[in-house]
Amino acid sequence: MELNDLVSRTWEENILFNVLLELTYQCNLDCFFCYNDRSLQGKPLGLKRYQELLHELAGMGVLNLILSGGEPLAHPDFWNIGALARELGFVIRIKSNGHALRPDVARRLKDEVAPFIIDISLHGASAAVHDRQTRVPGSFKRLMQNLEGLREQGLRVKLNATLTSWNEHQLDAMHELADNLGLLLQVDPQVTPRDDGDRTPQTIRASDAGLQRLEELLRKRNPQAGPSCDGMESSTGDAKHCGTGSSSLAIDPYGNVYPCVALRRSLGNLHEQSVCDIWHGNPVLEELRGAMREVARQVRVLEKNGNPVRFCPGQAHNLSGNPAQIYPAATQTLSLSIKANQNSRHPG
Amino acid sequence: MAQSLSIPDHIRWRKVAGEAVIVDQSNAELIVLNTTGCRVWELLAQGLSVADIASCLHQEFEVEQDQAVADVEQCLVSLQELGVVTITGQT
Repeated sequence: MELNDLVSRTWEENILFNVLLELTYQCNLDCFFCYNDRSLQGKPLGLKRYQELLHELAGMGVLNLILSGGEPLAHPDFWNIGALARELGFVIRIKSNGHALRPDVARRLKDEVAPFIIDISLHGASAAVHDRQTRVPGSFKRLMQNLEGLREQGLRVKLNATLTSWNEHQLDAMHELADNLGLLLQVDPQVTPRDDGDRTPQTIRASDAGLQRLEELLRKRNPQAGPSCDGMESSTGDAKHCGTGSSSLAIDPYGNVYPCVALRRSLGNLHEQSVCDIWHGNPVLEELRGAMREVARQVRVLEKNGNPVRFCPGQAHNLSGNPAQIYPAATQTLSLSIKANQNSRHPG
Repeated sequence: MAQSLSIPDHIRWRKVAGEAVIVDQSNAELIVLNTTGCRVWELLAQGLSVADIASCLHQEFEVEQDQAVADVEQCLVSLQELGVVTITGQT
């Protein structure tokens, strides 16, 4: 069975397979476009509750565990949580800004947590651009040093970037930097609002020219690439648009449970319920599973000549309250993709 | 010397819808075992010997003991070739 077949099966059979834990919203950087709602109030999950949760998730058959934040390493119990996750046999993905991943920390990460991969945020190909977005001087230089240390430890790393008006002129250079480092770079074309609805981050969304250049680069570098959602690989299945509501959950630092990291519609809280109880028979999840079939139908209508629509139900929900509502940016990406396709066939 | 079966430290797995989903973290390979293979894997993960695994299959799948032993050994050889099982010692 190929990975795509497995992913499709989890979507179709509503098998919880991926869970993202936002361990903390604390961070050692201050990125301008960060989507975290740092004003959110609540009682943080304690170590004991995390331990219970991990045992429960393992028993439910969850394989993929994503440790995120904020900066997950900023959580005081990160090492305990990571070590237990390893012991319970999760495939661990860590989403980090890399700022704290000095060689000694990288070594400890390898020895105690043994992550499958570390997704590290890259904001530019130069200190001027990268540090402008992180708002921490010296963060680019430190990241480059830390990446070398991670490589020496043999840890698998992927670079993640969000395309903005501040870094789009360095898009090619960022790819070249990633190539020189021997790392894959994944670029998200869309800046999302903060989880509290604040649209300030979107004031630096990329221009049409920047988005088009990204489409051209994607087509040139990987013609088979399709939309890739956080924590999931794209699937060849067409019955549902994505795994939100069907195979994934996201949990914030206060125990609020969501269908995915982008779709902030609460399913329940771990201070009051078990994750198993939240997952089974939840009417919101049932509604979403139906909505994702409807989205898949809409997207198929929109997609022409193999050009993908980059649609996120989470963004749709945040913009309109309807996770199946196609929003302008998704179809804009379609038109840019068509244009990039035409350019690749008729260059110059 | 008795045969020793073990799963390397870089292997992760779960039982999903009756099948074993195995991830080799060293090379990012994904292996999925069908129902029978999954049962072999589960028993292997519990530390059972080849003979004990075969006895379980003999009872659960109603196959002859000798056939069960042969099937288990063949399965384990395949898993060893994929790098997800370590077999040391001799039968």
